[in-house]
Amino acid sequence: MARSHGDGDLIAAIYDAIIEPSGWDDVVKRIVEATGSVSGVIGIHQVDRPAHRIVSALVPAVYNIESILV
Amino acid sequence: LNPFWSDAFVQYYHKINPLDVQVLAVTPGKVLASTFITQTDSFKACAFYNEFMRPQGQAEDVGIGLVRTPITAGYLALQRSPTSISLEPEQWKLLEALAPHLQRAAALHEFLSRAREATESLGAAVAAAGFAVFLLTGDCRVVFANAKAEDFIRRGIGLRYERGRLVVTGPALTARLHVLAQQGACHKTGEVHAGGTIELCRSENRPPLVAHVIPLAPIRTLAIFDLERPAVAVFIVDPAAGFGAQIRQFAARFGLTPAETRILAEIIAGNGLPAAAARLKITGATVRTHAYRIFEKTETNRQTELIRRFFETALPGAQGGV
Repeated sequence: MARSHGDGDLIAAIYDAIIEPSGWDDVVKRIVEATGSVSGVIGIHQVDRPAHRIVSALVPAVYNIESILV
Repeated sequence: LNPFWSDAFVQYYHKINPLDVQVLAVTPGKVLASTFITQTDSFKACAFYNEFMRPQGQAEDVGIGLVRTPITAGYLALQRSPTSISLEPEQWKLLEALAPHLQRAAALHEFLSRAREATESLGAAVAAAGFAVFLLTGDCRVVFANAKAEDFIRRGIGLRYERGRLVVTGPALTARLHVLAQQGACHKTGEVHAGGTIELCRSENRPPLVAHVIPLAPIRTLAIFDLERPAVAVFIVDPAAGFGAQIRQFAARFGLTPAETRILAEIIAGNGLPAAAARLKITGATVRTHAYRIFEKTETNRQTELIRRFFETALPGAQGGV
């Protein structure tokens, strides 16, 4: 695997997504492909830590999976 | 993609998801496999696996922690197939290399989102007040401009940007603006300068725009921005445009009489008291009497303080100071 160049591009894409949030989908897609995974999702969860449970979740980026909002 | 699965997750399966444990446990910047959960007999016997994951060709979740606060957990999850449950060593190393960057990016993203939200709220409130407003740092860099302010820049009326700094027509006026901004950034022993007013010339047959430069109290600037702290707010008043509603609102708030309200409007429009006397066809002594009563009612001592008090009402959350 050509680690250094490909990783550099991916890292750049990660920081680009800070400015352009639509770029997160592409970041997830590239990580899924680079790791031979089936799908990927970024979830931001509201949690109730004392009860040890997830209250709700926002999904700002997905690849190869339906967006889920709990 | 099959929406059936997302509907099913929302309706039911999120409630019985044993992998929630991983979301709650993972540390930001770290990679965590779930094999200690997914490769157990109990997991393979559970409804979540058999009814939700397995039909979708998922057998394992690998996650990277992004954000962790007392009430939130951000997580990048990668779903693995039954034929490729574990990551290859190179793939694992890649995730470990990416994890700190993802953590940093997520933190920055969250910070910028909060800053943007605060800025947009401020912009909406100030826009609703009907004035153009810039927020400047002590060296006149523009931190924020509402839509009306951007419109003045676009139309090239008396103001422009130069290397990110606000510049007005003529070097003397620009120097004056920069001095006022520097004074606004200087908070020795809690002292806040009263600010000042600059007239911005435009075409010959139109009255100049009036720029009221109002220093911002340090507590407010800290509360709104963390990166570039604005030192002053510059309110642009176009005397040719109506701003009677704001004047009337302020007058009602402080119980000004109609005569005092007219004097207030002259002061906000950038006219001095002698000019106000001439325009309103009353004596200088009468104007000064009205001005004194306005100062009393608004608990101010001079015109710059009165102007500051007037624009306080345009900024959200202002109590004692802008």
